[in-house]
Amino acid sequence: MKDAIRKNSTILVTYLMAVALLILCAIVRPGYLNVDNIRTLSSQVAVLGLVTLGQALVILTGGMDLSVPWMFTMAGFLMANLSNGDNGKIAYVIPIVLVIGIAMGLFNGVGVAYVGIAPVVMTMASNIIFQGLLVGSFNGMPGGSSPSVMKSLATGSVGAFNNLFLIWLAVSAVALVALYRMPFGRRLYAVGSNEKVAQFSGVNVKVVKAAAYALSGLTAALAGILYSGSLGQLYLGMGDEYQMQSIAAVAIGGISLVGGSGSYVGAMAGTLIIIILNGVLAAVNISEGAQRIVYGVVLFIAVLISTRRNNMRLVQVKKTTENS
Amino acid sequence: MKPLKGKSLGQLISNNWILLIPYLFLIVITGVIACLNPGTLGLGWIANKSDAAFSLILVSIGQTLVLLIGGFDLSVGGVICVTNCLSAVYMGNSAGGMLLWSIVSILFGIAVGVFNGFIIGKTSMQPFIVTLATQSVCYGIALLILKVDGGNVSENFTNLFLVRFGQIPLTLIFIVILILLWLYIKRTDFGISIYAVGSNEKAARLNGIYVLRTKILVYGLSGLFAALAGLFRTAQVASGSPTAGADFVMTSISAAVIGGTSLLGGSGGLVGTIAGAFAIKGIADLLVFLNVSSYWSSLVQGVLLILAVAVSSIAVLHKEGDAA
Repeated sequence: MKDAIRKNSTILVTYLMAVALLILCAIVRPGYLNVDNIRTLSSQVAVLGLVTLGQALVILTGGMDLSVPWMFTMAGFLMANLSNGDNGKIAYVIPIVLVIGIAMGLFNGVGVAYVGIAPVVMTMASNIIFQGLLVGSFNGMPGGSSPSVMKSLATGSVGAFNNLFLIWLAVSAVALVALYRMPFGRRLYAVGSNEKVAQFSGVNVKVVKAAAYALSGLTAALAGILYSGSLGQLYLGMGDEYQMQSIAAVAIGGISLVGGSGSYVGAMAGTLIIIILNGVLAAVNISEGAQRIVYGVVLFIAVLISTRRNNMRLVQVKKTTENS
Repeated sequence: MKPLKGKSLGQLISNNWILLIPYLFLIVITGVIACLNPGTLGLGWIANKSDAAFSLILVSIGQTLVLLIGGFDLSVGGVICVTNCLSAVYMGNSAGGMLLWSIVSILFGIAVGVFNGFIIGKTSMQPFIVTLATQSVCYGIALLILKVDGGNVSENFTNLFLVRFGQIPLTLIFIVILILLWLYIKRTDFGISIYAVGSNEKAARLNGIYVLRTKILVYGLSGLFAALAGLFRTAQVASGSPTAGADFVMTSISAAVIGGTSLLGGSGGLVGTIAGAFAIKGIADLLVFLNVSSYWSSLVQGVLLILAVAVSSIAVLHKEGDAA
């Protein structure tokens, strides 16, 4: 038990931080923890959480996905445009949009894994390629509206929690099984911690990497689809904030940004912290500019802490190997 | 440069074909533009292009230096936003004000760069993530200075930068000076340490090169050039915008990569980058000539970057093949 706590202390600390922030919010703003607000918060957690899941998978392989904003926006707009408010159409529109999400992710994955383009550059470029594709093919502003089924799904709730939150929990459960109970997870971590060793151990590094990006495309698309249901009016740029926030959530959750270590459970806590932090910033009525400054500082500190921790771990490993 | 002895011109070209790409590319684009619009080419045209490309050239020069040491600078976009807003809002009409706020802007750029360089050199944090954080902080600061596009820029400030000597613009003279300066710096200790740190940091350190100092200097220079680009933009557009710099992050990397600078560090240079920056501007012109909707332009930019990186990574594989 003690061992388990020590092993997972970072994750525990992240959750404690989330709770502390939540209490702080409740004190600063009485009524913060009422049912309505928890419903809103939980829907925000779900949308960011889905994007963060994909980002975490990519980062675990040692990559980075900067293209989530426009994969997200593309999916949201395609959902609204292809279904155009018709409930009957979602049966085939949702699968199509999800496949398009996977295709966009695969585009990144092929560029990174097979052509050898640096992840940051590849996904930075593909982000604006997706932007160009969406805006260009619809001549500026794609029209359409989300079907009412999606609207009621995204705005309805079970108890104090928004429906989307439950979807996020379900998807996360699947991800946790895949990551920690199936060979896929082991391969993902192996690729992230040492590509060469993974290759020699028989892991198909290229396939694993490409799969991680494809899954990031899938989760970003799913998030975009669900989010488009909760919005009255879609807007270009609705995905922009998720780039920085998903990376920050992953970093706060204790996943190393060079890949190979950290847990998705931590990234889930990271998501909670980002959303609660949004709440704190909104509560003190801070301007958009100051918000961006806070995000930069938070990201910086989170990564600084995780880098130091990794370095310390490396030193410890070195010491134990020297002693033995 | 390797000794030329015993190598025919053909061999030289076949070994260094990658270095010729940016210039060939530029010539082809210019040729196409000339064919489409006979009579455009001339000294006046070159002068206009050099004014139009100058801010991109400045940022790209800083970015190239950072890429040469194997780094990455996303914060240039933020620095441009801040310096553009600072100078547009506070400068006023007096010569003293212009001088003062130009200096403040430049110092701000240098400070951001030095901070990036220090953190990247001192900790094992990735350049990408450090500069992503400072970028966010800078965007925030820019928004605090100026919420929407605006500001009040004196005509004198514009005339100062866009002055022409006969038909030769000041910017073209600066470009020539920068090229000459670079050709000199390349041979100095500083130039050698840039390439050494980029090719192999450990080897550079063992050979007595001050890696930390080189990093701080290079990131500092990148901040300086970004600040200059922001100031030039103020003069050129005669207004400030809190989002002015966002586009420059990717285009500066594109210009460097198209110009033959490797994302892995250690190879490339400023002259190619300047050709790359002109090529990017040329393509933008081409799209206008061809009546392509501006909605597609981001798609073209992204594809261009991916193609450029793909070509250079294939060239690396090609070289490795030769060596083996």
